[in-house]
Amino acid sequence: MTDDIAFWLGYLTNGKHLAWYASFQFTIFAAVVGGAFAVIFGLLGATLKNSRLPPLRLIGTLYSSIVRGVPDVLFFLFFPLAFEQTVEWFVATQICSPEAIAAQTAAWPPCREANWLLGSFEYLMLASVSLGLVYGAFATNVIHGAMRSVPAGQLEAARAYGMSASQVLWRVHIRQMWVYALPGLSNVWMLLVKATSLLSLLQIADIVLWADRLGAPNFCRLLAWSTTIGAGATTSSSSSSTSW
Amino acid sequence: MDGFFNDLSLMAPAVLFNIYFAAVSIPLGFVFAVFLALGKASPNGLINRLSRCYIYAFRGSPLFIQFFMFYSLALSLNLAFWKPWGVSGFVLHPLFIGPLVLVLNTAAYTAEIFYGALRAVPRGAIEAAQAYGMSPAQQFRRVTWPNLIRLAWPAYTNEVVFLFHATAIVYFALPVVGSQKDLMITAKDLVERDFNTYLHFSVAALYFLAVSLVIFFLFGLIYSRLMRHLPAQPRMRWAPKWMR
Repeated sequence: MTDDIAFWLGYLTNGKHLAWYASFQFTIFAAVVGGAFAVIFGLLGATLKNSRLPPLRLIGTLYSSIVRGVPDVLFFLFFPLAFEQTVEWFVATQICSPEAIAAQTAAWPPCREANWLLGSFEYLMLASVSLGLVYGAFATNVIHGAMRSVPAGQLEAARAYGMSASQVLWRVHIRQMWVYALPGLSNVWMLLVKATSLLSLLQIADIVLWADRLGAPNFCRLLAWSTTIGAGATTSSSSSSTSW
Repeated sequence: MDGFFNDLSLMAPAVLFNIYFAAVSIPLGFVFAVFLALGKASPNGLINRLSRCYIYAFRGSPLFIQFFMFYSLALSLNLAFWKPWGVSGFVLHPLFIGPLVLVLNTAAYTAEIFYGALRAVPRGAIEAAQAYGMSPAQQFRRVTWPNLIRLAWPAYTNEVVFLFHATAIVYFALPVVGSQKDLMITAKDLVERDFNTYLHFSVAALYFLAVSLVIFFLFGLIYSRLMRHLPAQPRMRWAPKWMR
């Protein structure tokens, strides 16, 4: 019995498991920062949607309807890549010499100097912003609806007190809006927490990636199986040593 | 522009995989969800608790993890069952496991919608049916079900579009067999080849948007058919709420 306990204690605290437990920080970081960004983008989007200027209103409407109209995973993968490429393109217009562009053989970046190597923290940050953008579109809708359900009398009272438009917006409208927005926002945050499971698609070593790696025997079989499916045969490779 | 049309033709076969996943899972999930919703409303303590737990578990965990879990479960049962029975090529195939997990997942979400609609069926209508001396089965078939489906249809339409969006992550969790690639994998492979993030992901997004609009149109037709007894036909909201 004590041997069993000692074995499991030792097993559950080996290096791989400790790395797995440590990787929870990435998921939690993405959930918290992504949730904060979602509210910020939601407030921005709702303000744009409520704006008196038609172009701004169009931007807000387009943002919320297009991002919600495509799968979250598509935008989640698209944004970090697109952001990185846009920055690289901009840097390339400034620093690339024609010779360097001619010497470049790969399709991207335009020249080698313009390459932007992202560390894991930068990638995590980009992923969080990406989550915030996707679920900010949902939050835009929620906050937009909440702003419309603030009683008109309260806004009129604020105007009657002589508040300017921005004062009415910030002191009354946005503060009274939370009561109506919070139930919807908690839904959005719940979706966002579930969507943090997609972090591993951006090669961030989060809990999902580690859980996948710790099932390494399965993974071996998965690889072996996917290569042999054409023959209709399933190889049952035993758990051989893997690179991790 | 050439690249755009090239992408359109490259992704035309890919979208069929997404449509296949959705088309197989929607009818099966619908039937399963009806039973789950009835189970959740059942006075029988065991059935009630089982359905509640099922719905909570599948709505509370990310679909991505569910794919991983079911795939490794199927793999670990391979040597014991599938292989001796000679069905491993079928059971472990993504075209089987993908719809399986999608059915289980969408049934939970749909059951929650149907359960909400079931509780919203007018009490008086059921009492009238009882007063006519209808048996419980007749009550359900003639009174409860028509009311339920009319109440639930707009929310169910959103769920179906969400399910179609969820098909985007099937091949991120399951192995890609040969050239059987869905939209997201095709887009990702194209991006890895020439790094044209904006083009490839936008074309994939266009496909998703187009199919979503078709789904809205078809389900809107069914809705107006369901509501044909009403003089002023309430049109289904063209701007969907995209939220579950």
